[in-house]
Amino acid sequence: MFSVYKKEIKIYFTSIMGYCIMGIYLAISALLFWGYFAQVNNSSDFSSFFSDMNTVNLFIVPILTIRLLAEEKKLGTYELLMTSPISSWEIIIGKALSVFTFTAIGNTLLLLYPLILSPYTSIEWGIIIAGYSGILFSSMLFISFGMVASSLTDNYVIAALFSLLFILIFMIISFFANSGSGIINRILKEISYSNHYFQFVTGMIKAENLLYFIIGSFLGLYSSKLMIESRTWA
Amino acid sequence: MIKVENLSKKYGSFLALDRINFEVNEGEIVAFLGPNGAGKTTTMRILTGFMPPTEGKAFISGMDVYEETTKVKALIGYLPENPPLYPELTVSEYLTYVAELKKVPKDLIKKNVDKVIELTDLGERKNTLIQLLSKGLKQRVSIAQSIVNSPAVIILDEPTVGLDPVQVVEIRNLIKSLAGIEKSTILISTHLLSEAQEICSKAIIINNGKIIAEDSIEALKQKQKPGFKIIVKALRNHKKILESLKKMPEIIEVEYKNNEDILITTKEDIREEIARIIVGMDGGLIEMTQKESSLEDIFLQLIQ
Repeated sequence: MFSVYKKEIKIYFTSIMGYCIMGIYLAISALLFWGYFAQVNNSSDFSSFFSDMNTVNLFIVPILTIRLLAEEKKLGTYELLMTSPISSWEIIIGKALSVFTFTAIGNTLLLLYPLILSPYTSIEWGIIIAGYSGILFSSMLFISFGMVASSLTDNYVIAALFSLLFILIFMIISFFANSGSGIINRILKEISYSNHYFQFVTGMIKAENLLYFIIGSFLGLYSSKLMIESRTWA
Repeated sequence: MIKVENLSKKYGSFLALDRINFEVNEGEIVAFLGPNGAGKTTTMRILTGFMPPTEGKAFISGMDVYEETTKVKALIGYLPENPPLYPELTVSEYLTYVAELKKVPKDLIKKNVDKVIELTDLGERKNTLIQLLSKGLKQRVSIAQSIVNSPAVIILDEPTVGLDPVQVVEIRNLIKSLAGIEKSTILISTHLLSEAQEICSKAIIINNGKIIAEDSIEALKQKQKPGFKIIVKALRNHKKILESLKKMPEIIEVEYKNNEDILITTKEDIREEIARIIVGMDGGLIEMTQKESSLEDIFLQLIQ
């Protein structure tokens, strides 16, 4: 697992793609920071800032995850991986952790903005920590969905579209969940991404929300593992 | 070392392998010969644990490939048809990564990587990004990765495909030297008969998913249709020469190949008599050679 992780991290930090994506992500964050806080309005509420950056994550993460397995298939290195004495879990977790490390670095750099602002106004660190946790857990979920998409095809565009589609489905569910009552709506509400994520934005870190993201991520990674192993089904 | 028993593979309704059986002994270099689509890559993918067979079993060092997959994979070095390279890594980074994947003990990784870099003559390029290497050098790196775990069995799928003639010679010499130094069992799939003849001691011939021959190259050559093959180059009177030769009792077949060449198949070596007849007819004899039976002839004979 560690060998796969190290190799992926090396590629992110030595390739133009890695720097471009990180650069774009941070440039957008700087623009948002400027937009929200450049004018004197006595506001130090970062909840919208983190929520908007999470939307940026929604588009950035699929770009990072499309290459995870789709590229291995395209390069022919998939055969190398599959004929090496390592388990499917080692491959999946090594790859998922590498993207998570990369995105977490970008997410963590967002904490610089409240730090910059802290000498000039009082900062509600509780909301910031909740927003930061929300964005980290969201990234984790997006990565696992992206991994499933990447395991389905060797075409980058299709992998990215699938990844976006999976995430959007879990977001759109909340519209149906909130449009009525009854057991179906209750279930939809429980599996809706937005209902769980926006509690982080409002400053709440609840065990049920953490569990939602952990179980969701596990299911995504497990599906990817099944996809990898499907070639061995006779 | 490698044993295949009644191996079959179906892709949907298409039968890619039809109950094939063969064995490769320890230290042998064996050619897996066959035209494109014969089932070579499928067999190799099954042997390396990449995909399961539909029926039958494959064993490496006595272990069932599908029951002891992880152990078997650690024993194998595999070069797939498409070189499995990461363009963003340098040669030594890549080989270190493969050594880690192959579970080479940590204290041996550097030693093994240095050794394969030396063996494949990549020393000057070890810090070069793979994307900057020529096709021949990339193929060297691919071969290097297949031996970085000092495997007992090396499986090479079309190792010289797409290379220029100079690179082909380089890679063939490299494979021959590997057999000498590493003492590994090597299975090479190829559709180039000259390659098999040059590198291997034994050949397994597969066509339409079935093994049609399995023997040493020499034994296979002897299996060819009996008779001496003589090629004669004559400048004139071809028609008269052909008619006279056909009357000789030792002649099996006479074939007029092109403007100058006549291919003669005889029961015994009667080159002296043939020369006398052609010279006597003022045929302008300029050359006469005995044609060596090639693996190509046997191959064509077998698959027809």
